[in-house]
Amino acid sequence: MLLPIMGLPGTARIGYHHRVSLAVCGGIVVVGAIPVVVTGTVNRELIAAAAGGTAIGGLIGLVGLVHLMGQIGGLLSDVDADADPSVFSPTAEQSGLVGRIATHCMTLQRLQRETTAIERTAMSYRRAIEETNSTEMTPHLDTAVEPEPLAGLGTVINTAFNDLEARIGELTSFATEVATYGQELRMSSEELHDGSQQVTETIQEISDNAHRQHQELETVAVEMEAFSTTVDEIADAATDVAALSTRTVETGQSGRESAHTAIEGMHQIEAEATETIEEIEALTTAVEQIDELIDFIAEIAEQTNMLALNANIEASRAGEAGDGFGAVASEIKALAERTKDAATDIEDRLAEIQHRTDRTVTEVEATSERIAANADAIENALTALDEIAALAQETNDGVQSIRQMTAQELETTQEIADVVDRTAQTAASIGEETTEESETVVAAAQAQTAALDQIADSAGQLAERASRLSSLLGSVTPASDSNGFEPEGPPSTDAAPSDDQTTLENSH
Amino acid sequence: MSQSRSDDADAIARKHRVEFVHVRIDTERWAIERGRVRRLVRTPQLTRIPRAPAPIAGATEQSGTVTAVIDGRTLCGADAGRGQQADGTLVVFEGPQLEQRTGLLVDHVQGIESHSVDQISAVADERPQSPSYHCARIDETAWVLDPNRLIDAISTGNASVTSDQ
Repeated sequence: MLLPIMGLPGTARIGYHHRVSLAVCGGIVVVGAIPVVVTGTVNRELIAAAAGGTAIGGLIGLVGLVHLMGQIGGLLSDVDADADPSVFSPTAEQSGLVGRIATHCMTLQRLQRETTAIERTAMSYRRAIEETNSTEMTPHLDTAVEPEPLAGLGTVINTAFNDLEARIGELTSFATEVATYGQELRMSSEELHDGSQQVTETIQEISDNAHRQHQELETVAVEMEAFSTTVDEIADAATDVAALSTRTVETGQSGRESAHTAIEGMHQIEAEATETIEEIEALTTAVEQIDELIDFIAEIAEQTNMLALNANIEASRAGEAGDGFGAVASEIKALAERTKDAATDIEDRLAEIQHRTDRTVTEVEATSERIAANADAIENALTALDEIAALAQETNDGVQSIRQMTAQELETTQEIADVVDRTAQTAASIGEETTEESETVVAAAQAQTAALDQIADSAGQLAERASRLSSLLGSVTPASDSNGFEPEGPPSTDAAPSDDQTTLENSH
Repeated sequence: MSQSRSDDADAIARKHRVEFVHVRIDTERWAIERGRVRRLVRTPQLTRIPRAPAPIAGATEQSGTVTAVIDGRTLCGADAGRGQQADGTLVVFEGPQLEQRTGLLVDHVQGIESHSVDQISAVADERPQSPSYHCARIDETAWVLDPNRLIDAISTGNASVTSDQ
């Protein structure tokens, strides 16, 4: 590609000078390719700067070489024209020409020395560049060399390497930071992902809770309605109980009066029983007296009977004269026996009377004792009735208070039921809105989660690429073949970027 | 005329009947021929007689006459031990052959009853255990007591304490 520019007639004629020129150009191209290789992992500005420096150095070298090759070409044409064997007669002009040839040979020798020096300098430059590594990019080319353009070239290369080292350092730091940030971003993305998941779950739970709260509020509303009904029933029951308490008080008072009357009756019965016992005891005494009289009568009857028997005996002793007396005695005896039987009958009846009287006395005494006991019981009942009446009065007062409180409670309950009803309706609407909003939020959160997943993936890839960049920057060395000076085709700045470069640019 | 016949019949009937004074000693019914009874005395006042035989409960005074009292309960083997005021009735015996007026103290005099001679059966003397003062039996309801035999038995000390019925 450089041959037409140099105006050479063909490659067969390219000799030593051509090789020198190509070596210089190849070195220049190699130097220019270094930034290209480096910028494969950096940016376009750095590449442009390196290319600019390379182009300037290359142009300077090319100008010198074109001038030198033009002089060499003219000299060779002259030599070819004077090489006719038939005309070998040195002339002055030929002599002058030989002198010029000698001069040119000397010039060629000088040029050869200069070319050798240039080649040596280029080799030293190459070694210096090859000896550079990632930690020390500056090759420190020797600039005190000839020719001056080559020294300028070394200076430019040194400057470019210094600049490139600084850029690479910044780039490495930047890549490290990018890797760190990418790692942190991935972690943050994961945390955000987890948080988003939690937010989603929380929102779903809130939605469920809102729905459940709505259901519970409806249940509470129903319960409050039932409670209101119960309170109403309690109020009615309290009214009934108040009426019953009033009736209880009245009944207690009536019972108290009845108990008073009963106690008075009991006392009267007790007194009468005492009088009855006294009367019965008097009757018993009279019966005993009668019994004594009956005994006396029986004794008289017995004596009469005995007297009649003796009269009969006496009559029998008198013989027939005593028959009449005996008959009288028999009549007297019969009368005495009837008297005795009557006395015995009376005595039996008196004994029966006395037995019954005793039993009556016992029963009356027992009755009196029972009456006394019943009187005590009735007095206790009276006391109990008084207490019942008092308690019933207190109950009535309490029930009245309960009724009033129940009425108030009923109003309050109704108000609470209304509030609960309204709250339930509000909760229902809020629950629906919450459900809708939560669905929206859930969708957004899911989208966010997906985006965060992508961010996390990208951050991971970025971190990975940054790590790889950092490692590449750490291991970057100038690209060269084993032979060094003649690469078949230098990489162009217009060439397509590598995959890594493309990925990095896409990542950026 | 008819009255006379009736009287005759009554007389004949009376000749075939015997009147007894029925008494009760403890649980036994005894009968004493009415002609052997002088009088009846209720709850006589007794005076104990020292060294007297066992059936003699004591002596009592009746109309100026001292009467020996035989305790019928002692004869029957029932509880004796009567006090000074004897409960019961003293049946004073009648008999001219008695040297000492004597009476039998019984628990109760049931009355004077007339019995047909057909109702009365003699007691066989050959019964060795029969008391000697039993002379007859009335319809298997009562023993007929002979006061003379009783007094003789007491006097000779052969008065059995219990009767053999």
